[in-house]
Amino acid sequence: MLVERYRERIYLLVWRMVRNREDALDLSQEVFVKAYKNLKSFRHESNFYTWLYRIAVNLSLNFVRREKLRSFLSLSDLSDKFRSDSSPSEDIERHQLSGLIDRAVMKLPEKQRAVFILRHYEEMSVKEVADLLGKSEGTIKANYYQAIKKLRESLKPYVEGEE
Amino acid sequence: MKCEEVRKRMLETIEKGEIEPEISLHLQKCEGCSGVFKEYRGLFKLLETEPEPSLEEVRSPQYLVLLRERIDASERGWLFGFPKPAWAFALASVLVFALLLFNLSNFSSKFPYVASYSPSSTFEYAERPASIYLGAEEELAYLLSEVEVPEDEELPQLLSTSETNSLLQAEELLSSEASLETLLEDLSEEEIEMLSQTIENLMSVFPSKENGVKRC
Repeated sequence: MLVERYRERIYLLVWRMVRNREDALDLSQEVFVKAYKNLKSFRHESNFYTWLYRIAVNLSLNFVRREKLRSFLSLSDLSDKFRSDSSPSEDIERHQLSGLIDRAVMKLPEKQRAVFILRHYEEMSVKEVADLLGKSEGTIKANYYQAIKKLRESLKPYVEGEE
Repeated sequence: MKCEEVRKRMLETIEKGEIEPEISLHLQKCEGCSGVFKEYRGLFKLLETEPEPSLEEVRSPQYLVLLRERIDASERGWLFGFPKPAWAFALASVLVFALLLFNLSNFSSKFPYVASYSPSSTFEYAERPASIYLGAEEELAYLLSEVEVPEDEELPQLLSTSETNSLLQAEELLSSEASLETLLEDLSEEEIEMLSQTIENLMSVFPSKENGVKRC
């Protein structure tokens, strides 16, 4: 069954976009529901996995935008739920690396976040990401560069310069 | 090779895992670029150590059971919840009518500046982006177009930190390519109205694009 084959990869992709277990579980299921309902419109121009990925990315982006709007409504900072008051060294001591990266990734604008996740975690080429998001390769390169630059700034206290 | 060129090619170099001789030569000479290069490598090293989320729940049979239920529910659709589809259409008609009545009766109290506007000609009326016929989403779009967010340095003087953050988020949202329709897809009427209200309040603090002066 296709779901069994792709569920883990789709869940990981969605989780990296929303950085929340419950939302990722819900969204990953929504991806398959949407894919099932639109199976007839799948034109075999791209492979099935790319098509599924496109649905996952679009759903995640919409989710992130809605969350931002909701956060705006309640006049609270979206990154509040990832905020920690401890110092960098304490964070590392407590093995909160995942939380630190979550916070840094959540701060990225959604397009840059999507590009970063597809390039870095999914190891997709610039062309593949451009095809998936319907953007030019130049735009994808610029988005990726900006995302890495912002992550470098956010995680600077935790990044050890190599000798 | 110039610093600008080297920095542009840094990510590519790190991804390849090979440093081209001309970049290597530049890094040996340039302390600034060398520092940035080390930071990038450190960042990728840090990202590699990030633990993967647990896949336990996705692998469980329960995940497939729930998914099956969701697919079945989506196939049935809401119309099938009614004994006869005609009842659904009848209910929908009543709801639309009620909504229209509600909108007309509340419009002047919610948006008095629009309701009190009386155009002197058809052309003048057409120029006004918000008209009495607008629904919540159109009204919101109009309000959003009216808000001009001031420069970042002005914000702290006017708002608290959380309000500043929220406003910057809103600014980012507005500058994103997402259409208003997409953004509001899943928001309830109540949430949209709350947003309209928040923006209307902000409009009283910040300058309007129309007149360029602060409304206090």
